[in-house]
Amino acid sequence: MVTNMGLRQFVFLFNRLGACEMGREKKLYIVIVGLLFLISNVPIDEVSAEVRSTKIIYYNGKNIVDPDNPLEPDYVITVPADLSFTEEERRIDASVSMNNLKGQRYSGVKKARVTVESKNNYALEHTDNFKRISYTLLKYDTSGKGILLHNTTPTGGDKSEIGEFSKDNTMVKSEAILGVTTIAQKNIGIYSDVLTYVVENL
Amino acid sequence: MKKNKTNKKRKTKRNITKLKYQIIGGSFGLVLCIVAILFFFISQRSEESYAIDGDAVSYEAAIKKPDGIAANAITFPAYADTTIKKNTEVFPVVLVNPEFNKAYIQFIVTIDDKKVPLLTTGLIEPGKAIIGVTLPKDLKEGDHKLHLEMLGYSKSKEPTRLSGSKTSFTLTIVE
Repeated sequence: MVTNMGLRQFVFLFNRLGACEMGREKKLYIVIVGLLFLISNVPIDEVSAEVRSTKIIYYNGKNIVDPDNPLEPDYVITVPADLSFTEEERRIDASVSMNNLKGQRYSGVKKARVTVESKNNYALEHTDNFKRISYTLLKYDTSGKGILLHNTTPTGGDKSEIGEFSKDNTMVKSEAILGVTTIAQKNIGIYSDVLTYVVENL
Repeated sequence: MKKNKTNKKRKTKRNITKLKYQIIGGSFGLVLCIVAILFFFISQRSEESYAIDGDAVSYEAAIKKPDGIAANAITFPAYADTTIKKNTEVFPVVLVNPEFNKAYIQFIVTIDDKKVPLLTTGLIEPGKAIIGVTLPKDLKEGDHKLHLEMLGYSKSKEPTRLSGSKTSFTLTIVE
């Protein structure tokens, strides 16, 4: 605890005081001086050790939402709103993209897995007579190869994966293709299906 | 005697005719009432389903239209994990429908494995937002999963369902 230097200084002071007559007050004075000296000479690294052992609870202040500054979206996912097939247009662009809030392709550090599920198992249903017209939803990999998407299970379970999105993969090209080339006159009408895109933060 | 009998017959005939009219009139009234009641409930239901959310506020969110997106596209927001202090009554979050969308969005917010939503909004117009979700009072410290379901609706007189999106993020409650 006491450094050599501290001990030498203490002995020096003690010797000087020893020249004086030894009274009760003098003894007390020696003890106080000695103690003060000892305290002042506690090595610095021992003080640091005590600080290190103190429990510090730290929260990143940036992550705690300020009520006056509410949480805004981190990024956006763009998907096809609907599949409006017409006689002339039997293939619809159904590409999915991950974008930042500035309208550019995402460039941050987040990753997200996007899957898709069809309400009618990839069939358009007539709003009145419940007739169905099947269609296919394809996603294209980086080499341009089309992969058929489908509901693996009607409810729950795995869904069709569009892909893992990140700054390195901000867009997956996808296309919906109508399954029939002609529709009987009596079945002409409004057909629809609802696609739900599930975005999972990774 | 004969006159009396004829009078009686006439009276009976008149009574029967009166009864007939009463039955027809009553039935007509009943049908009218049923139709009115049905119309009332149907209109109420449709109002609930398609009502524009009056609590939505104009929100100048800094969300720009993504470059090169298809004309029939819809854009949904996604949120990062976040932290709030314990006993926060209203989680300050912006549930926004980007202003360049050509569709309404309805938001449904649930927490953890609870089935009852914390919030079900009406239809949010493009460029508007609902700010804040009221949290349960007994929410404990630690991580919670906030599930966000966003349903797209066409911007027509009778909105129809469009594509939707589901996402979730972690909400951490600290002392």
